[in-house]
Amino acid sequence: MKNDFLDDDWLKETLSDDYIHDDDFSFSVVKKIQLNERKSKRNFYTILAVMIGVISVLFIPDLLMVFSQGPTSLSLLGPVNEQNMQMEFMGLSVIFLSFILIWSFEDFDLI
Amino acid sequence: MEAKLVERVQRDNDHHAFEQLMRQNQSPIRQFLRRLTLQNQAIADELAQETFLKAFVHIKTYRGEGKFLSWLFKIAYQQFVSSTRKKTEQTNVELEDKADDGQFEHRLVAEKTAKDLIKHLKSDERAILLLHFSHDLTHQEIAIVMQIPLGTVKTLIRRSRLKLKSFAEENRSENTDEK
Repeated sequence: MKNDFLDDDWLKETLSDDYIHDDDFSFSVVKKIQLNERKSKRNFYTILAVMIGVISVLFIPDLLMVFSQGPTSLSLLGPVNEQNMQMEFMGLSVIFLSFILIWSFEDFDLI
Repeated sequence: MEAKLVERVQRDNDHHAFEQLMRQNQSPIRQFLRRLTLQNQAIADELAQETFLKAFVHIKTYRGEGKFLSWLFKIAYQQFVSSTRKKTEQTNVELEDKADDGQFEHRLVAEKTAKDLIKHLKSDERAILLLHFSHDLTHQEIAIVMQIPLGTVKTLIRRSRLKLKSFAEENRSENTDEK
């Protein structure tokens, strides 16, 4: 065998490898891509749910109060009263429901 | 054809188009990584998978200026370099550079071809020879893939092939001495 390491053609021929191909490889990469996309979607929905939750906690009790009793009711709110507690409970329920709603969108690929 | 597939992935996030691109390009990438990892197929294929995953995520940054395969080689080489950096010292020795482990002369006896001898080169020298001679990349393309100056590419190619030549000569003299 001619061993000429300064001969380009000889080196090309010597260093070439057999063709590698299997569909399992590309199939498993695509699976991983889909899994990654699902994960990143999940993160997005979690952040969205948290944002809705925070907004709900901050504003829903007040908004409900405004709608039920008029704008002047805001100034009359005491620090703790039974009605306020109920409103906060409703706010939490909205968070919970929005979270379930978003989660089910994600799980059933509705978006 | 390839450009259209790339466009489909960039525009529509098309998994089928990307699968076709992978089918077309998996062989050179996997061959390259197998040689870089000294034929450790498990690690090489894991790196190849990471290469294609990264390629899919960043495909919008590919602007069609060079060959798509060269762009994949660049990612594959980066993956290899960062994986060897992350490994422990012990694994590094296993993957990176077997030339300096003191048993070189013993192994040389059994190794006659350039394919065998290339294992004794440093990883960057190995990569540069493979990209140039096995995968037909130009000096300019190699400079982009390995992110080194063009002059360094030429110097490294020359130095690596001279190293291979000297390994082969040592190998030949070892064999002659044994007889």
